[in-house]
Amino acid sequence: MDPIISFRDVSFSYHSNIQVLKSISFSVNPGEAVVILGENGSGKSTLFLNLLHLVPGHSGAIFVKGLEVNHKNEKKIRQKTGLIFQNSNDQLFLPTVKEEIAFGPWNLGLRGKELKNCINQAAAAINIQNIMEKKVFHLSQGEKRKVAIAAVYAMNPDIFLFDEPFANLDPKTKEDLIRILDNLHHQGKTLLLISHEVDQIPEFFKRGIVLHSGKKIFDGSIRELYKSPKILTQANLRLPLAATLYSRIQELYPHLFKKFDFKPPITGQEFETILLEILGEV
Amino acid sequence: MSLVYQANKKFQNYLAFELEHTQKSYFFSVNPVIKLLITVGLIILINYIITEFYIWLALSFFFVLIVLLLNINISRFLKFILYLGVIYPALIAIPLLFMTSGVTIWQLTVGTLKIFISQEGFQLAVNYFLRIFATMSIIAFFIVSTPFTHIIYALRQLRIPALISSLLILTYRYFFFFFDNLVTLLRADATRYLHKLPFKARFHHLSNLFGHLLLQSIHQGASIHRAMLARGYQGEFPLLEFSTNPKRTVIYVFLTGIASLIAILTQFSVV
Repeated sequence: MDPIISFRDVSFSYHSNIQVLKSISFSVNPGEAVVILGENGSGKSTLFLNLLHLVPGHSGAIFVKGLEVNHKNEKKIRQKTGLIFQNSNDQLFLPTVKEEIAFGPWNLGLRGKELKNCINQAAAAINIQNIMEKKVFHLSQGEKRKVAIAAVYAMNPDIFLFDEPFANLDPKTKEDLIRILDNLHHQGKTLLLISHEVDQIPEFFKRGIVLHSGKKIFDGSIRELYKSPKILTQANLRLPLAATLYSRIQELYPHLFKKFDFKPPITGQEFETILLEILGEV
Repeated sequence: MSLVYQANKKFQNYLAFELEHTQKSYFFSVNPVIKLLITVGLIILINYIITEFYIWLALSFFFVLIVLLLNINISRFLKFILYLGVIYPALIAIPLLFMTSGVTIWQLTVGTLKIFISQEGFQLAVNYFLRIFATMSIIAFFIVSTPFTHIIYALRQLRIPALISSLLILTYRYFFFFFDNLVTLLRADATRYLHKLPFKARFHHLSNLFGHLLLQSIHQGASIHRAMLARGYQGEFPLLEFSTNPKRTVIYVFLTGIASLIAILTQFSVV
């Protein structure tokens, strides 16, 4: 299978002295869900900006669906790739929700009934039909985040880039957002998600890439990553709460685990299953 | 500082007003192109054809009356025209009272300084005041029944260059960012400065604060530009169509047409 995204020895710096990305190489297959982890300032957001050629000047090569990211191909690449910014206020610039969603498809050349259908479909997919006429300014953080996703969804991209989508959201909105990501994943979209909160990574993100000071220090399964405390410490990350509790219980009551051969849990649900099995035995 | 809070409060009030009342207005669904053309026509009528002060007054009150009858929040409307229609023209008219020579009707001598109001000055000031007042009440009438997006739609339909409408849209959105950032900064500032700074230090502090606000705005502007590019911006914003009500459009044209006709006939009968 040809990769949908490919970074080949990519380096980038905003100012001549400070290199934000250092020789990054990795590939992402179509339909894959990948989480990019790293502490603040590790170059995660810059990676996304480079992918869309929004900050030109990288060295090495980036390919999206076989097209090299450069000035010539940037429009085609931006049609196939949707970026949801970390701060929704940085992304939403039109007066009403409806206009905000219409912006992308309008630029793709959709007009009249086609445009209307596209707006309605995006609103229905993200479940924001009730706020379509509202002013963007009057929306809550969660609503703004949903509008930003709907605005990108309306362009029907193959790749979705989420820059810290769960930041500053209440638990209910987070759940809604995870459901939206899950739907996109089931539709076969390629998802890349930036986070530094290991507890907030949805279950279906099986692969993780860890950045530290602009360098890639890990690329593999999330489960493997949690087995490597050194990498987590180096990247200023920590184990998810479920894994931390599991290892603490294992440390304190090793006899409880003699009969079982559990994989260390990485989600709350996995931890709950293990706990119930142990308690059942006790 | 409190001035900034007040300005922000007024701005937020206006926005809430726009949100609540334009949609409630009976003339919300009138074709905005027709509304805009009629508004421009009325402004031209008031400023270039009508010369009699009582016609200006009658036209102003006619629009206030429509607003009253259409269940648009009258107190908000009056507040709106108080700022735009009374304070602003008064600022222009008051100096004219004292700056026009002619037959003196009032005077005050303070030492060698002589302050006077001439009959011509008084007439000129009243004329300017009423003319601006009438213009502002028509603009206010238009604003209270037309949301911002409809205004942009009308401008685009009238072939106003996309660059101008795009700039208007971005400026409108930018107000929110600006006030939001400004108020957040001031609040953050207030939590750390518990004692009043000396006068000189206050200036230094304020310049730092506004410098930061400027940098923050530039940063946010750059982010928005990136977001626009990421979604394929090619120099135009979407022009969404919306449903209009032909019956209400006819009523709107009829009411404003009758008012204009009566004003013109009265003007020419006087002449």
